[in-house]
Amino acid sequence: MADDPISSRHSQWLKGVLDLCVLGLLATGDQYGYEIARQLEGRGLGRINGGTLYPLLARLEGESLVSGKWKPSEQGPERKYYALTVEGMELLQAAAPLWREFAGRAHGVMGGGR
Amino acid sequence: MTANRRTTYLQQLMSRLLYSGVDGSDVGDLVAEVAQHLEDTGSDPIEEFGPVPEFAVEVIAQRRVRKRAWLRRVALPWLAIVPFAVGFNALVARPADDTVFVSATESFATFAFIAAVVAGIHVMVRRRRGDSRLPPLIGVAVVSGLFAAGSVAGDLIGTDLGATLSNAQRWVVVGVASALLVGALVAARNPVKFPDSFEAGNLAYSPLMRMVRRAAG
Repeated sequence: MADDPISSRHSQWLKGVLDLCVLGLLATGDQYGYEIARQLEGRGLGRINGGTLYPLLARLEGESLVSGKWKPSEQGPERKYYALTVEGMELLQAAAPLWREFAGRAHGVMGGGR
Repeated sequence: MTANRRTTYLQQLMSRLLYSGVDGSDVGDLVAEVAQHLEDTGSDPIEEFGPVPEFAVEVIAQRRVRKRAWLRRVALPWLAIVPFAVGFNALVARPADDTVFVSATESFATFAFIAAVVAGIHVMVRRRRGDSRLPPLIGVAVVSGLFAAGSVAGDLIGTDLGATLSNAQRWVVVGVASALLVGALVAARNPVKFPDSFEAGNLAYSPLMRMVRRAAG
């Protein structure tokens, strides 16, 4: 569906806020990569493949916004769980209202499209 | 998706990240995560993560890359080869008592043979890894070039050195050269450290080691 203009737009929007969405998910509890991808898809943000997710997690970890630790999962082998750091929480709290404001303004401008 | 396809993907990824200077512990961590993700999803590695070169570029942009990665790839092989060549030439050059051990031509022929063997192993390892970063012939040229340059340097330094040394002294030179060689090889190491719980299986061994193990039955 890469040629679908709506689907392609969806991907572009997601690229801009995927890091904040991941931080938001981790604010609810530690999660591992596949679990994060499943949650994002379950919440209607579409399928996030590993090629997008893991470099993003590496960046967030490099910026000390999340921290990763291998520990046993509820079922199956050990997995690398990511946790939100204090810096990550601060960024989320600062950026989430800005996003809401931006999205609201964009919605206001596009209102004529209804 | 076959397990073989997954293993090949992980090996290629590991190889590319290490070559790019990503720290061995970061490489082990990521490879274990990718392996676990593929296990969970059951998806094809290329569909899920994209072709290895593209995925690796994304990862390298975000991961700790060892400082002076170029040093590991270029300077350390030199450090390893030149002392080896100097030591070899000091050993075989005309000694103080004017007895020729091995002529310069024989010395070069020996190095050419070593270069050919190393280049052959290099090509085999790259092909086993399915690594297409450099066409094999360029890889052969790089390795052979390093050995040839090492041989020239060794002949220039080692022959003169050897001509002024007694037989006992030349073994000291060989000893020092060997220590430098070992030191350079140790410094160039960037071992992959997988998480303790990760069963690396085939990934834990280099392609060369697997070939040796297979040949040994």
